[in-house]
Amino acid sequence: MFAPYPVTAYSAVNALGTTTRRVIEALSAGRSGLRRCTLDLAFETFAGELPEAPPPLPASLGDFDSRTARIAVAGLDELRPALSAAIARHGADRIGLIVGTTTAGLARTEGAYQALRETGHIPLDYDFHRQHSFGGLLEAVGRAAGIEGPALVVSTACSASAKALASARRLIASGIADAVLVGGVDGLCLTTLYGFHSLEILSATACRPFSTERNGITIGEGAAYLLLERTGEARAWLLGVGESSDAYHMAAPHPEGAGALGAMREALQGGAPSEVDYINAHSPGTRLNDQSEGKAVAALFGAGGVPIASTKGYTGHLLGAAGATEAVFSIVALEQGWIPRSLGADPADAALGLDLVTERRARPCRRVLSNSFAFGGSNVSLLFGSAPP
Amino acid sequence: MSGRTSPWAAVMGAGAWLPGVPDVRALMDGTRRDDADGPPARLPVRLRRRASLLIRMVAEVAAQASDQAGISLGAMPIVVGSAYGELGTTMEMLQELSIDRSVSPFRFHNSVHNTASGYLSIAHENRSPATSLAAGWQTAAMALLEARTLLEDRGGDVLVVVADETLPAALTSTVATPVSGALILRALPRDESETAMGTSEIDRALAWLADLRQEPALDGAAAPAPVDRARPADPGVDPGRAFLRLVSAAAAAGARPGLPPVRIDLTGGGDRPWSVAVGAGSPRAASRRAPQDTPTRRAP
Repeated sequence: MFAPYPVTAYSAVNALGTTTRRVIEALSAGRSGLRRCTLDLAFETFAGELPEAPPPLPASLGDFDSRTARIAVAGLDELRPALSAAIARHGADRIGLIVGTTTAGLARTEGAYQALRETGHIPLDYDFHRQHSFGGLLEAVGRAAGIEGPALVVSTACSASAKALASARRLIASGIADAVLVGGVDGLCLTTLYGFHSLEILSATACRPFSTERNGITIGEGAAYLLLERTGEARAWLLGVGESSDAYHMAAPHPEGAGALGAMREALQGGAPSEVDYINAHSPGTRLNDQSEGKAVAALFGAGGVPIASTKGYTGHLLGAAGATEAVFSIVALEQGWIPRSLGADPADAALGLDLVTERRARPCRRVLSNSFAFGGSNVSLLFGSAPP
Repeated sequence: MSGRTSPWAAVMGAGAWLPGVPDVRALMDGTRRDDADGPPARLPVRLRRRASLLIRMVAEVAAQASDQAGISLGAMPIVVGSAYGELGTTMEMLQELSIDRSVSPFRFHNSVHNTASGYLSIAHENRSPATSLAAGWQTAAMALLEARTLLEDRGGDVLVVVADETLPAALTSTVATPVSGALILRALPRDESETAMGTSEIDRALAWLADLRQEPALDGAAAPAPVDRARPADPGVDPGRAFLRLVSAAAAAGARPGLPPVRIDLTGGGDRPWSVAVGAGSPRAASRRAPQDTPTRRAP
């Protein structure tokens, strides 16, 4: 029996803006945040960098400094009133923290390693435990948020912060927490840019999910948070979660989308596919993903059965932050009654047989499904609704 | 706590590997063996090639637990806890990046934290949810917590593995050697777990409270310092070795094969936010006898 819980607050910062309002305005206006990458690389690419550098951490958290930690803490700012209210209502030790990330402070480690090679010394202010390790990032976010319940990082690559919501729901259902702050955060670093480049799936220009002109992914950075509570004033409801493994390949999705289909089906919780008003797709802009996700969606919803869009043409692929960020976008569709245009999808790949939203579409939404798929064959599908079932 | 299942789970199987200690029996006996090559890679041939130490450790201890339980790893959810993830592969990538300004594609996709859980799902054609998590010094606790909430949610069995590789000397002065442990846990219905043991057994019940974050290391290294809440990210706590205390406790309590229950509690707040108890006795016996102030191993 799946108990639905309310999402009572959310925030998102990424290439579209450093406040949630600016992010949503850009999404509504169909404006991309992707630009030529400013990092010094051996190749040309685009990236979704924050429009302004994230502010330094407060002095008390200085030991934890990394670009990712700065983005994570900056992304908390707008949630402070909601967090204070939740702490007053439940107690800080009854609020859990689950953060999805893939890199944490890896950018700091890249710099430290380079310095070691050049000078023979690790920089004095480098701290492996507090900056590199996921536990360090978790500690910094937990302290900045002022919450003291169970805290963990979920790191299942690009499904991490969607998976974090799955764990958060169970933590509340089991009675261990009354609320969980779910976050997703990643900062740009060389390893991911060079890594996706070497896999030959990094686009030289802005990514084009679902388009016949797609040419790979664009990496972005950002943070997003959702406060999931046992009770409270809902902005939206988490109505279903589906999780599966492809058991197929570390880096390639199942060609028939079997794992994706299983996750979506589980997320529907027995509800009819026709009740879903919009799918926020995983599609980061690779042919393999589009074929796999497209087949799974068509199998469950029928050809053209449901409007579908990818928001990665706005923000880039936020990796560990993608699931939480796109959960926020899904809730915005429920609250505001519009579906963002799938930026870059035009000319759309008609062979996929999907109702691709190539122009912003006004549509009252009661149910929105959000997909996140990842290396390791990790699939998560989240169902949000404007009201409990 | 919600109603359907109790916070107790049955241990169906256990596995352990660390250098010199190839399995749970060796862990209990204190016997040591030279195994400089690392654990055998209990993986299909196509996955064995270039599998990292972390992948091989996770595959090995999971297979040990599966063998003992007589349960295939083909269907149960998988939880892998690792404070640092694919460290060896990450160090190789840093070197490549620094020297050649490139990263091998294979290394890159095998550097993600969920590489080992992904390998397990592929090796056993397991399409159930698999997760990979980290929580610094609380990694073992959070892996157990994740397992517990999965058991409450789905029933059935869950594989929980905690493992970490050697810490890189280039980046940290903290010394930690490889370690891995696994448990297969089975959900117990609430009424069954509370009546599983008669009162006559309570008095001779073993009840150990394994405070996983303060247990001394198994291999003779100094016990980690008590956790300083002001600087809780301090190293010196080794989640994998802490987890092995639980594996040992479960193995010792299981004089009968099968069913020593494990209790995973979260009391919340304070400086002891969670605890794990293991006993062959009833849940009531364990909670009555388990010392709350110091981590102590009780003789029966």
